[in-house]
Amino acid sequence: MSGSSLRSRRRRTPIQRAARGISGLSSVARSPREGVGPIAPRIAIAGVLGACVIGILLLRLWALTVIGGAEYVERADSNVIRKLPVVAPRGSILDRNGRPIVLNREMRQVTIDLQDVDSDRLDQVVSDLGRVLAPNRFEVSKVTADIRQKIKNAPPGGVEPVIVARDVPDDVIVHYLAEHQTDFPGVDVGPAYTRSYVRHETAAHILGQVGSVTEEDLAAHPSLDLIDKVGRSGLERRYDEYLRGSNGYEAVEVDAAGVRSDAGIRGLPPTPGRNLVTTVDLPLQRTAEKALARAISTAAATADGRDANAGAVVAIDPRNGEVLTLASYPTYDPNVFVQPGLKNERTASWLNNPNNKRMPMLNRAIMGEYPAGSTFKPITAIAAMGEKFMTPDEPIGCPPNLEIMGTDFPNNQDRNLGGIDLGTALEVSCNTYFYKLSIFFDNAAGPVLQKWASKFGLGQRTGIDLPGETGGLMPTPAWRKETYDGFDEVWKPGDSANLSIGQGDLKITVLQMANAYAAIGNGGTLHTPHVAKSIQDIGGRDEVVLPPGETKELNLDPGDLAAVHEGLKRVNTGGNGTATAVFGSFPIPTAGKTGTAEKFPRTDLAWYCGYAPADNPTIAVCSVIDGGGHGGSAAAPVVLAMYQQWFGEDGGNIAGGSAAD
Amino acid sequence: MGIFKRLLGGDSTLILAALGIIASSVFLLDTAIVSGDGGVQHDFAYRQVAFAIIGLGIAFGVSRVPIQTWQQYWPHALAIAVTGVVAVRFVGTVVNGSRRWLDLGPVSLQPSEFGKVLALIAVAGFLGSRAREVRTPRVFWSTLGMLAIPAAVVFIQPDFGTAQVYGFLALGMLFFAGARWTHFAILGGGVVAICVIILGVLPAVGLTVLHDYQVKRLTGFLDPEADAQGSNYQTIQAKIAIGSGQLAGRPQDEASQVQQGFLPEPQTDFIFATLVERYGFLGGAFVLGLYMLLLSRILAAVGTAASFYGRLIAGGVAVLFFCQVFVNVGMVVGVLPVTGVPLPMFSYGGSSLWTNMAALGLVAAVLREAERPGARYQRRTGRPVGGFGSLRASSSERSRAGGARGTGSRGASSHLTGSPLVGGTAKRPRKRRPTSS
Repeated sequence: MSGSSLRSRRRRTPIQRAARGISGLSSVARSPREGVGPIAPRIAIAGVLGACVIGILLLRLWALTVIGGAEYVERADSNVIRKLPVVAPRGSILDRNGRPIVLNREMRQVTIDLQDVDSDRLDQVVSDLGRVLAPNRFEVSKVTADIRQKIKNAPPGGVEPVIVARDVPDDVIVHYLAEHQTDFPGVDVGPAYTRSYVRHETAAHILGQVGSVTEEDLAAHPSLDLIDKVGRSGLERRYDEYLRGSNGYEAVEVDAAGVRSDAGIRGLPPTPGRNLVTTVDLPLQRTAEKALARAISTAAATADGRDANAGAVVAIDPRNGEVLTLASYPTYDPNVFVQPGLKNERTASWLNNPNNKRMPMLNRAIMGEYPAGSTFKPITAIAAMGEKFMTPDEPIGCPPNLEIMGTDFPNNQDRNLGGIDLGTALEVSCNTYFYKLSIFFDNAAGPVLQKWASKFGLGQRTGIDLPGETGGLMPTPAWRKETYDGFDEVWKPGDSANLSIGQGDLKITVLQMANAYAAIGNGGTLHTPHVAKSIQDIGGRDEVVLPPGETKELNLDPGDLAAVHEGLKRVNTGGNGTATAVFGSFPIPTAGKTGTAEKFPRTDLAWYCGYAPADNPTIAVCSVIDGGGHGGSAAAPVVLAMYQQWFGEDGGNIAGGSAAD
Repeated sequence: MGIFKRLLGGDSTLILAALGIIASSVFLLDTAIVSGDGGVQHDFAYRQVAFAIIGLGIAFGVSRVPIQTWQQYWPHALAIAVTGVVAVRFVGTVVNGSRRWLDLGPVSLQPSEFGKVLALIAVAGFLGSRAREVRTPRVFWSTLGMLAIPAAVVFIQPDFGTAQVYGFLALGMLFFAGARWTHFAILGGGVVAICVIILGVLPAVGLTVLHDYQVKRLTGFLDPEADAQGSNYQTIQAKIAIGSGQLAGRPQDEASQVQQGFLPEPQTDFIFATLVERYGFLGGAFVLGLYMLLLSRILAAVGTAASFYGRLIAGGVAVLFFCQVFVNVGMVVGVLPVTGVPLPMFSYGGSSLWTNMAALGLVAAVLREAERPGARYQRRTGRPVGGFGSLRASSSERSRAGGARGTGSRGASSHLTGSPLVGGTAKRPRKRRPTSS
């Protein structure tokens, strides 16, 4: 408005001033020449029309806010956005060459959110659901009862939807539920993942299981959701933090009737878990498991091994401590825990039954504590040489028996071999040779042999990256005193004699022994065995190598080591070698030691530990068959089968290993 | 006040109302808009401030251009408006199922917004050069036909709301130009007939003109609860947002319709619902009051205008603001169908803000023209100052005299005198007439 028009307006009447809102027209209308100009009425019409329209809008606004406001407040408050969790896919577990061992299978699951169903309507909804989900009309009541049970088992006051059916196969069901949402308030069909053990039994004990989150888990890890799966055992548990991704959520709007619809706002996509690349060589693992099962059934058919029913094998790369194979028998197919079906459920409950004497879930390779038997003899020899009790070439007698403090300790053969060197003693596994050495240890100050054995990691946890490993037992005078009373509390020369051949109270695991033989084979470096190699993202990129465990130099005398090494080679190839029958014709030179440990009243425990190629080993293996009888005949063939897989039947693959598929 | 005077031709009430609307908008954006995690986010407010600063520059720039300059460019304005909306039709970006955006790298523009002010210039120029024929049926229908082109394209985009604004614009400017009532009456009857045909007769014989969702939107607001999850979802959520604001609004953490994302487009098309949820009836009434104040001052400028063309421009801006407020608020409070028309200078977004501020700049230029020495004399006498040999004729006047299409050497005055509404009636023969038209 121009200053001049403002001035002119000031001269006008108060009524005209009151009409300032449309005063533009008055200034025009007041001009003498324009007094009859028709623009004035048009502006007036426009002003009145505009004022009326805005007035109507204001009235409408008044009606909505002040008059109807209370109702709308209620409606606004009953509008609910719910964040439905979207489960992150768990990372896969792969072998050293990227072959999948465990994958995720995407499936559909039906859930019901009890918050969204009126309690008086729940019954009807559940019976309708049973009718829809049952595969045929005869199973309707069973499925319905099953759903009721699941709802009953749900934690009271829980906010998570209850999973009523997993692995819904039928598209028709999914579409039916989606299209009849109003009949199924709170019911949702969504994607979920389940573990898929694509190699079935293979490496079952390494992998372990996943399980549902419990209240204790939630307390320990607040980031978890009740719908999550967490690793319960094996690698699934040890590397859970990498394998488990983080869940996202989907924003869903729920109205008062429990009907859901897309809230139109963005949710948060889940972050998938990362893949775990293991050091396991899948073909070797498979070979070992097959050979172990075969060896146990073969041994069980013989008189010496009639009690054979369990066993374990561990193969380690002596150069770095990577676990190439870790197998335990009896084994199981983990799929029974994740796949639906009555048969699977029965098998799963049998496996989990604590009274199950076969204990298939037990990972005997890291939890089975066994007397070492003769496989311990190389340790005794290294200790004796290290303590300067003898030299490798010094002839020591090998009589059919030896009396120590009035107790008769027999050899494992009746022949008197006379004075033999260390190599021969190992080759023929002469007990009395080592009994004679045990006298030196018994007379020494302190538990010297135990100290040497512990140096090799025997009788203690190796620190492998698998949960549940046990340490075994390294008997010492102090331990005996602490454990027993009276006569038994004194450490006697007989205890030293038993220990020298790996008998008595000594208890070790197959893993410990395999790792000790790896150290003998590689020249005296003790690695921490490990199964996990690296983690990578779900597309196989962005690989991060996991740090291997500690490495310990044992500082062994090379001469001493060479003498033992020579003896171990003669075990496999010498004329009287206890394993020559098995390895004698294998094209690659190998070294090892058989063991036959007494475990009265059962038949003997069969051991074989060794490494190959003998002079520059790429693999160290230890196998045990509980009740298998003689180590050479029962346990050694398992190792041979593995060498044949590792190096090829003809030994052509001297470097060992398997190429990527 | 000196700055205001320079900026908007001295109408400080006009500029204060405009700044009040922008300030309210920024305040609302700063206190009511939430981010994905539910916390208040200020980004929209900051960006709107930046847009407003640019917009003030645009308004100032436009106000400095003598208003008559634009008249000769009306065919260009029409061509650009049509090109813009056609370009969007083919290369635009689809947002919310509607192709309205032109993605130019860092910035996205909505040509249909700029099209509004271009259409205004086109119609004003067209009518301005045919001042004496405004009451003829030919000019009436050609004006409608002119805007039917961009309106049709916008309609197809589909952006029914902007098409509606074009329609309002053509009718409103004809109204201020002095078109005959009988023509409006005939048009009204025709529109009713066409609506009946499109909504009733054609679907009955199997022809569909409107998208299904368009029909639902156009008729759905009459009974919003009928399809609560579907086409009327937005209407219902907006009504809940508004109603729950009651008299004085809800605190930010209780304003659940916006906070939890039930209200669609809370910072653009449905910003009025955001306003009322947060600040209640009082907040809504305050902003509507600001619009009434603004509109009254633009109407005043229509009366003050020194030329027929300036009057058309001011009238067009009044119509533009009014119909945008009406269509938007009417939609939000549920008395009009849901269409994508922003609340002028209040909805977040640069294109709309700049368009409306440019329009206000045009009003300022109209007021500046009226301020010019001799303008009041000219308004009264119908004679240009230049006719008395004034040495103070502005350069813009000279250029106008030489270049304006459809004008004689007398420049703007000839249009004013040619108007049937100013300085007499069209029936009375004038001494000076346009030499061509």
